[in-house]
Amino acid sequence: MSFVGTLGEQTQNALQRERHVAAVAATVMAVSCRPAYWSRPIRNVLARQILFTGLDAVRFVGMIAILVGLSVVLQTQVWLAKFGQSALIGPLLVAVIVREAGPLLVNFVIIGRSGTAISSELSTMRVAGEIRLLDGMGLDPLIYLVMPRVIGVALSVFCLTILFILLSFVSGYVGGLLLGLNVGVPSVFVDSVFAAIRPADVLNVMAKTFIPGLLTGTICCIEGMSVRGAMTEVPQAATRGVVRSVAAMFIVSAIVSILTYL
Amino acid sequence: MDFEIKPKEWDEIVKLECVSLDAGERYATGLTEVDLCLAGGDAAIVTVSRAGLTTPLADLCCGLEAPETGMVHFLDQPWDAKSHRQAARDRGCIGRVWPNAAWVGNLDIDENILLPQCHHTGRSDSELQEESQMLARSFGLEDLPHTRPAWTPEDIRRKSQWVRAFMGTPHLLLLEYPDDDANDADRTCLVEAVEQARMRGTAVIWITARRDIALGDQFGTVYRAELTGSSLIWNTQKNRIGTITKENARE
Repeated sequence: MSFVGTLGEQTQNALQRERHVAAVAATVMAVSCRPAYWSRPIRNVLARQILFTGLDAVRFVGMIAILVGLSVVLQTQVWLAKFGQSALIGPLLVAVIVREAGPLLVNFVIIGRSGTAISSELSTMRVAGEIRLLDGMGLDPLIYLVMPRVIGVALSVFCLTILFILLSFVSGYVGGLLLGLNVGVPSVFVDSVFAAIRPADVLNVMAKTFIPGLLTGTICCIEGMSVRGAMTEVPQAATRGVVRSVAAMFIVSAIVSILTYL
Repeated sequence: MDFEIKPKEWDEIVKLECVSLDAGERYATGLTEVDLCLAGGDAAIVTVSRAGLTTPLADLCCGLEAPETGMVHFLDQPWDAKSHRQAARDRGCIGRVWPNAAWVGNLDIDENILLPQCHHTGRSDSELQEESQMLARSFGLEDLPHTRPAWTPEDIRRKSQWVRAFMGTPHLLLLEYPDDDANDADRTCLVEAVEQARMRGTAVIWITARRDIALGDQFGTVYRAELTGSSLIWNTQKNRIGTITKENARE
């Protein structure tokens, strides 16, 4: 096959995969709005997913947020003070932490922590015949396995990002105080940050957390359930899930950033 | 009990019309032009040459496999005519003992047992617990096991499968080698449970390597067939498709 033919075929395959992801994500969103699908076992799966993806990751995300706060927020204060531009602290931190670093880092953590777990779990279930078992008992795998995981991941990414932003600001400010830097009174710092937050920033955070979270959950579920029957496919599925989720996250992040500044 | 007083909503619970399916990679044997029709209370005992021989019969009956030729009806409707949601709901009316891969590994056995009922019905936890414990006791279990399937002894897992299959008065029972390695006392308990289910109008397909499964014909007709190659050789003529109705089942 010619180079152009190969390129065309690969492009078509890639587009088909992305269309599949979009179709599954849209279906999940559609069915999740119907209360009839939220039976007790499915609510339990959602609760477990939020526990594993959200609550269990609080310590790790919190630690990263504190470290980012100490490095980014603290340095920003120091350098802005040196240049006599302390009034820019709010807009700069919102641009760096709220719009970019927070959502990106939390998404990375969730992809690495929960995305791999979802892919591995579902592929193992597939190999062990458990997905067929669920189907045989009338538990639609999309409803029982995919929907609560996708929704759980999306909600967890959003909540952890909010936590990340708050902790990084607090740790940066407190770190500055402890190091004896001229960080000003807390109310000025808080006012400066809040004054810099516009409605577009709120939409930005929501888009950069919910959409990548939704895609991470969907991609990892699809990759997990795509194995055919050999245990050796399990790590491969996990790897594919991570790579595609990271790619999707960067693409969404870039698009949302561009839209924010338009 | 009289055949007529069974609370039946459907004349035919499950019906296979000239169904064929290749063995493929999943099964040890396929099926060729199989006809089968069971009304409530009827039972089909399908004997195979060796225990554990995988056949697509049960999967076809619950719509997990589509036949290459022929048609499979469940509750008066072909599986391929049911919506996805309807098919899932109808599978919730089927109790099944699986020959392998019978458990969701990350749930305890008791959660596994209650899972289909919790999902498909609005029955309360206490009601489900009560029924499952009653069934468990009838099969000789003191309580529902609260352990992961991988850490549960084989005989407990087997009886737990029985409990799950009989929960909630299923319309159809698909029993694939349910009594492998079971002792006579346990087997008697299982047969009693099957008879009680048939009395309530449940149709039963029992796939086994044993030839001594004794079911009575007071609740419906008992058909016996032997799976030879990919063909079901029936020992009774009146089970041919289209000839089974309530009337001639009573003959």
